[in-house]
Amino acid sequence: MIPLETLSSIINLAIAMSTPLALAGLGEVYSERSGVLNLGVEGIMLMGAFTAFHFTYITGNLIVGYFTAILVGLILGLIKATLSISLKVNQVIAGMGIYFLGFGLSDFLYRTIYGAEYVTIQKSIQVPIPILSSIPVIGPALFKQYPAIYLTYMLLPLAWFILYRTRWGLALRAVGENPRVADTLGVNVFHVRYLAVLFGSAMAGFAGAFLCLGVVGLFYENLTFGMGFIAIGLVYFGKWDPLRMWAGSLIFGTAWSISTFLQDYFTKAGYPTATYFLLMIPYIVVIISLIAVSRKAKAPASLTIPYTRE
Amino acid sequence: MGLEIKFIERELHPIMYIIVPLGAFSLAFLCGGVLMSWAGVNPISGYEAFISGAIGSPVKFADTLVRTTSFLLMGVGLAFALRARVFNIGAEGQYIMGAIVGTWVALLLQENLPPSITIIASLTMAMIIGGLWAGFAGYLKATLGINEVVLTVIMNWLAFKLLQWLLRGPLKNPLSEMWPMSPPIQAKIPVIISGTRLHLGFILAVLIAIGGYFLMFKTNYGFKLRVAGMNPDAAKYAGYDVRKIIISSMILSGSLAGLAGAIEVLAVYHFLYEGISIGLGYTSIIVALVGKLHPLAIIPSALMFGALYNGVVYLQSALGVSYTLSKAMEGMIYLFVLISEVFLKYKIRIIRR
Repeated sequence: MIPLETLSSIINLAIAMSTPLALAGLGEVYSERSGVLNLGVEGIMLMGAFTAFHFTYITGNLIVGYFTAILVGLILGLIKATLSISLKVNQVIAGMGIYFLGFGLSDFLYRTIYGAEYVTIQKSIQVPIPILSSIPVIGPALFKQYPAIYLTYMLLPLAWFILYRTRWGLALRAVGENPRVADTLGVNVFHVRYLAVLFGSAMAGFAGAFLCLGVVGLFYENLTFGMGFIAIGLVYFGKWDPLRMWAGSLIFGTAWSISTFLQDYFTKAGYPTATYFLLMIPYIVVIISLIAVSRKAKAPASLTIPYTRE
Repeated sequence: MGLEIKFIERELHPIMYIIVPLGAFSLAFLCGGVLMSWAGVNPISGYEAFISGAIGSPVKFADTLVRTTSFLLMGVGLAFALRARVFNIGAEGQYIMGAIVGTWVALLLQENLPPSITIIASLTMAMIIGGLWAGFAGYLKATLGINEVVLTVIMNWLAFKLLQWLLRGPLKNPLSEMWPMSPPIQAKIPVIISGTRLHLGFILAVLIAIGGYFLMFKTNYGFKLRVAGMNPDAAKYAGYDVRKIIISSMILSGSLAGLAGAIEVLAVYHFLYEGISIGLGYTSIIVALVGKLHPLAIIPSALMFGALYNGVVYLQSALGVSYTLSKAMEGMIYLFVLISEVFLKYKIRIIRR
């Protein structure tokens, strides 16, 4: 039997690992719902992570780190939006450009400023919520977390509500499904798409910042290990629904967390190389889950198609 | 009332296809210079080091051609997938898989068989595994409609994790305790100019690029592939099996990436290690796109990126500028090419309505 404390820490880590995916995925859901595929998420996350690291290191203030990361996300998002919406560049290609830029620039800036060594910063600390955190197992797993995670708990249901139950959400979905009709009904397709892409990129910057400040506590090359792309995969898995996407990110986080705990187990049992084998599992889980839901996944009809007014 | 951007298409003079990428390179170099001076390096001496590192001596130029080899093979392969409108972002993983299997086969056979047979077997198996690795993603796209970008990127990470594990497990060199690497490979692809590292693989890559040109523009298959990419509905209407085209273009591009991986091991390093790829597969996408997805145009494109890559690596050792400068510059070249093409192809008018 697994001791309850271990179970609780497995869930705790699973949630922490799933949060950057959920945040970036949420941004991508909105962006894709408006009809714009943003493949630059990974690059934006990396720039967000670096920016958050740098400004937290300079100012010693995590809040500054988070806000500058969101700002950098917005700047990269503006480039992406201009390319995809106004200049109508192929969205896959434009997204890859943002990815390369973020990937190269974040590491170049880090190495130029900090050199080859790893510099650690004061990580975000876990803040227990009174009463709730004293529930056995679930309490320490869910309610002894980083503040950004509590924000995520609120953000995702709110995003779901806005998407399906408000006029804004209706406009967003209409633009993604049939921009011409939305335009006829008086929705400004370009405004909606710009806002959606900017929101998505800001969320990617935030996700990168959380990965750096909440989970890792330092910055290094390729810190995101494919998380931005996995988040896009989870959007497909979640069929463009924020809550389903969140569920997907929790599955991935759990796979990650379990393999991390098994690592310790195998290392103690004398099989240290098994660690690396286990690190393949989360990626296999994503591939299998993508196959499992693929038949029913139907993308917004105008996804990747630029809109031109007649 | 609002502002409206109108696009009016215009004819493009063929010479622009050369001027545009060169212009984008120049702009990116300008930005690279700004980054360098910020990093405390005089950009002029920086670019002097850069040029001498890329083409400064016959040996260094040969090294640039060695680097060009993998870009060329992967770029030509990717041109087929991208032309068929299959966004294969997985060259990185296919390259790693090719390197793994190429190494494995070479290690198994080199004891008992002559090097030539070992090399041929190793390269063939690498192509097969690269083709399967990519074909799997192509199959899932063609039959289940799973987004190939997401799938191939995740498979890149899977391949990398597999590599990390194998180097510490089954493919571990027992003599190397500190640094995970495979045992050495004796079956080496021959060098064509002694004193340099330029190997036969480069010639092979150029031949494959030429062959790729014929396949793409002079055969029925190439025609179908281009039609399927430009207008999938027309291709379906004409009775082409679009699924088959998707899968086969992926297999083709994956097998060339796998070949590139095995060549890198058998010709350059002679052992497998974790840093075998470091994003070469991602760069190859830019190589293919700057080369306009035309196998012959990809030759100079691969050469430009080979020079960029080696120049920056030398810059790092000479002046301490991080080699990831090349990654940032790649991203900029790429974005500048994209933007300048839009402005060249279209007259842009801003209309008030």
